[in-house]
Amino acid sequence: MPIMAFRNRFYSILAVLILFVGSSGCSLRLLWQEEGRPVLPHDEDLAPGSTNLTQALAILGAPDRVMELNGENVLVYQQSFIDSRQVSLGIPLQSFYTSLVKFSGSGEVGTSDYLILFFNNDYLLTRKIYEKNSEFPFLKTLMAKPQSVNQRGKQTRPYPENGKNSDLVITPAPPVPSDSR
Amino acid sequence: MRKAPLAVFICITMALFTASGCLILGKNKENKSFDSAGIDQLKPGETTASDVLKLLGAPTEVVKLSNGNAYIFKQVESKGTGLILFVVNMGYANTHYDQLVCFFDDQNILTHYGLTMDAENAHYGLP
Repeated sequence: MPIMAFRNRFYSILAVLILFVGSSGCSLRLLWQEEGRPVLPHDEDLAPGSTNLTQALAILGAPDRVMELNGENVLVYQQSFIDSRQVSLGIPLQSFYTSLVKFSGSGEVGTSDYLILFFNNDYLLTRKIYEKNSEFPFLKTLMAKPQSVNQRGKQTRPYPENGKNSDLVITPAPPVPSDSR
Repeated sequence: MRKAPLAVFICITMALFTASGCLILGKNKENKSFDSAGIDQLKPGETTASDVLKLLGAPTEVVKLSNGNAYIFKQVESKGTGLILFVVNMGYANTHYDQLVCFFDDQNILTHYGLTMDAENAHYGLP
């Protein structure tokens, strides 16, 4: 019996030591960065053709970026995210050998939600673009294959019909009545 | 009195060692806070670009627009949290802005301005 007890204790200690030494070569790293305010589509508040700059600024506040593009003034509202993860599995052999046997995988996904407003010289909203990218799953985004040049022109659904579950919504200016020209 | 097995003692020691780590909190600010009294004096149609510069100081950025200019004033606040454990490391950074954008026409008269006071919403956390 004393031999059995000693053996059980020895195995317990050995298991703990193996777990301890083994885990010293493993690591999990999670990093998350968030920048800016949440960006919402404001479909009901911002109507191309009728909303002006004063109204847009009252609703949305100061834009994150302002620029001039082809004679129009562009206001960009953006919230950015960076999701970075790393998993390492290692067998620490420094005691017996000079290096560590290590298997490591890491990835970083940077995404942004955008609301882009275009204003003409009369400070009238002409069109807007809303794009939400932040809800895509980490691994699916990281592992997605980039589109080839030939595939880019073959998108079957370039602009989703509604903004709630879609990734990209472009709201164009309403057609101008012919008698107003 | 029965002695605790050595394995239990090692387990407790290892648990304490594994759980030991450190928590890091960091805070970063860029640019000075806005003068709210200066912002209250902005009057679209009256205030000039020179007045804005006198009230608020130098802008962070100046942008040429199709029918004038825009002055951007920005104050950034970031808060970061790091939790370093034996095996698991976690980090979180949150950045928010106070931002004022003043739009001027070709005559350098203020036409519009947009204000966002959001820097105070920067917070600590974990992923």
